Amino acid sequence: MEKNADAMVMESVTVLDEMLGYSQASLEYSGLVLFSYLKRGGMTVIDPLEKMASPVVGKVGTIVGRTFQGVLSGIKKIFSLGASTKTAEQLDAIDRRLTEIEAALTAFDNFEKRLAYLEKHGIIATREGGLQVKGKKLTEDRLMLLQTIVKENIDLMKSEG
Amino acid sequence: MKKVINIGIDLGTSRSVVAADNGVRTHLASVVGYPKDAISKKMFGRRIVFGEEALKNRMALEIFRPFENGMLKMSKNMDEKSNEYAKAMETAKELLKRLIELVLDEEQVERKDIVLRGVLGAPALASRKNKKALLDVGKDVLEDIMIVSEPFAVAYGLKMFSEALIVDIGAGTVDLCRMHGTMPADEDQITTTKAGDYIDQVFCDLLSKKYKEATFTVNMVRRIKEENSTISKHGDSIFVELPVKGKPEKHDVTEELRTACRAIVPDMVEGIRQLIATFDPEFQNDLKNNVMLAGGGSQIVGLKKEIEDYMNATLGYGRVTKVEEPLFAGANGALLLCKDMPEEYWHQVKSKGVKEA
Repeated sequence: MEKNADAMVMESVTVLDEMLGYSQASLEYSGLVLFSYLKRGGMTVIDPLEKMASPVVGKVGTIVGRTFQGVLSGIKKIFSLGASTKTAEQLDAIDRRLTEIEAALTAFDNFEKRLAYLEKHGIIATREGGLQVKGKKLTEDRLMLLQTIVKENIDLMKSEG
Repeated sequence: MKKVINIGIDLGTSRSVVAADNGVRTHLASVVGYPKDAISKKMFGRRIVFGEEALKNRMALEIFRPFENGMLKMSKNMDEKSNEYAKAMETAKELLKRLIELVLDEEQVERKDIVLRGVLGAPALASRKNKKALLDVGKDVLEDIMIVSEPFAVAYGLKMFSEALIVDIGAGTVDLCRMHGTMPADEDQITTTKAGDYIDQVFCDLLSKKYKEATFTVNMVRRIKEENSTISKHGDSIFVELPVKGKPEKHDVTEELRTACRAIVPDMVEGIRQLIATFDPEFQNDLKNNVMLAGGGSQIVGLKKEIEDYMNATLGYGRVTKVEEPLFAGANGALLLCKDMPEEYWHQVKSKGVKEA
């Protein structure tokens, strides 16, 4: 009886510990998803350069961004020698946007990594739009066993009774 | 964003048990009571009363037990349009709804934002019709539902997929099932109906014979059994108070209770012998070494030793183990199964089962 009580307490502590862990991961995941939406909304404003850069996310995107920034910086320097104030302002604006794109691409890269990390640790998005703690990876044998149960249930539901 | 709650459900003849992954683990007597008249309706303040409360107030209620011999109460040839069938389905549904309410009691999330998934344990050899009826009951209460054999659910919970023999002793049935790494087929399972309710009946008959003047009901006898059940020859005598002409008097029920509890053993051990003797001889010893007792009936004092003695005498060897939580073993296993079931498998059942049914 005492052994059972101890075991139950230990089991409760483990479950609570796991629940806290999963809750923290879920919150983090939700935050990242929200951040992603906000970021994507902001990024649509940064046309057409973003469209050029966005398909090549991550490192490639960062390199492209930096290349553009370098080229534009050179052009700006050349033009600023004899260009009008208006042209210089426009080039500054493009420069700022490129910096923003680079920052966004870096954040996106980090977000992807974080998402992969969370999924690796068992938090997945369900088809209903919710979050679910993914079950542990099951062996082929176990999956076959579960598939048999599924088949039996489908047969049962189809049957006339 | 919807929250998924997985639930393991064991709808038993005497007691229904649920275990959910939101931490709720509870049970309820499988009894549904409807107030008999306006006065009792006013007294309870609700349409239906469940479980122990229904039993306690049964004088003011019309009592229904939706399950019999571990199955939804229905005869083989029962017309699906008959009142009896409709009542069995209705009470079973109400009972399941109540169990789900208990699971959701602690939830902060609204019901519309929750997806309920349940795995329901059914007696090993329940008829196809009965299993289908149970699925129909569940479909109206849960978003996703599957049904599995009860002893298989116990084995799954214990992670004993091979070379184990599960003996699940309930009120309506004793389910025996041998596991050998695959889904148990019909020949791997035996169900006997000499279970908890049978003990109550034998105990009642023996008491009536011995104490002709004492008055008691099956419910009283069941309570005495649950508190004192034993087949051990050792231990104190059991005295209980039973009314005689209205006056409570002490009665010695030791021998009657022992005899009644022992009444389920012969069929059970014969089932064990059959399942072992017809198993691959190379693995019979492994099976003998892994006989697991689950269900409320496994708490009978001395039962484990009695089965081991029988196995030693007839099979040469036997090792019997009682599971840690006999009452929750089926629901725990069903919950584990529910959680392990991949997302796409649930969708398969839902789409194929509903679309083509």
